[in-house]
Amino acid sequence: MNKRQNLEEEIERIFTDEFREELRNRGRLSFDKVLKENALFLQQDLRLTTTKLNEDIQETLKRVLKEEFAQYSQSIDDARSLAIQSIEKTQTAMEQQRLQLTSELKEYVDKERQVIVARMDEHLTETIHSYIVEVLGDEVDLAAQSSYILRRLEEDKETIREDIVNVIQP
Amino acid sequence: MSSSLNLVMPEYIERRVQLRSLVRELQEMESQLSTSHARGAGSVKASPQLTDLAHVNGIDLKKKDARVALVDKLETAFTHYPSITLQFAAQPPSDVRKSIVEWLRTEIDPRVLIDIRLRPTLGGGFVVRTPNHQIDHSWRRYLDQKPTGFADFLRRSADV
Repeated sequence: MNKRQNLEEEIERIFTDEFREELRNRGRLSFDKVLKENALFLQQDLRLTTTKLNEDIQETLKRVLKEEFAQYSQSIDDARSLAIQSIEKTQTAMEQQRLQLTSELKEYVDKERQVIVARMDEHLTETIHSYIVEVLGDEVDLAAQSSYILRRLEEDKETIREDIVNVIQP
Repeated sequence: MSSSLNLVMPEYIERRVQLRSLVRELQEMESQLSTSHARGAGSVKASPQLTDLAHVNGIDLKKKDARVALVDKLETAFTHYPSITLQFAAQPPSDVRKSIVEWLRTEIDPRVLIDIRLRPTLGGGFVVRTPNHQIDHSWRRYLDQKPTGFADFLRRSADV
């Protein structure tokens, strides 16, 4: 008991209030130091983490945006291709229709022209003839045709003679 | 037909119907002469055509036998002489008719008669019809036979 008492007394003697206060101060200073050091490390870690996180977010955003843009671009390309194909099909169809219409129109016009020409040919002779008869009528200069008539008769002389001889001497 | 019966026809005797008229004139003349003779009257005057015809055929119209012979010749000609029909768009002048008749009687046969008909639809030229043939030299035929139509001709003319 005495030992213990002695020890306690020794301790009380060593660890005086001033010494205790000093120790306390030292401990507080050490704690502050450790705390400061750790805070600095923590701050550094936090800064690094933040930077890394920012970089990751940026990378992720870039990747996502790139993918989205790629998809968007692909969609636009697809839509444009579809539109171009559609326009090309429409153009082809229109061209075919135009060619067909041109061909049909040409055929129709040719046919109509042929009909008109045929009709003209059919009636033109009669028309011209009627016109000549109407214009010349009795004024047809047969006197001027006299040599023509005799020339033609001369050409047909044998035929006429043969026929007449057959009638006279059957 | 015996050549002795052949009638010499002046160019103005073209048509068969003229022969018939001359026969009728001779018959009337005969009838009038019979009546006149019965009454003791003078002669009957013949038309210039009949007079000329008698002259070119060497017939004296004062003689009954000659008149009868002429009637026979005219009847024969009327019945047997061949006729050629000529169609024109307009009436041909007398000189054209005369030249045609002369040509036919010189080149074909002196007994040929002609029958000229008007056919305005021919336009011009003429058509000859013999007993078995028809020879068409009309404008109408030439227009109809043109290988190319007039419309083609007009088009070609427009293209030049």
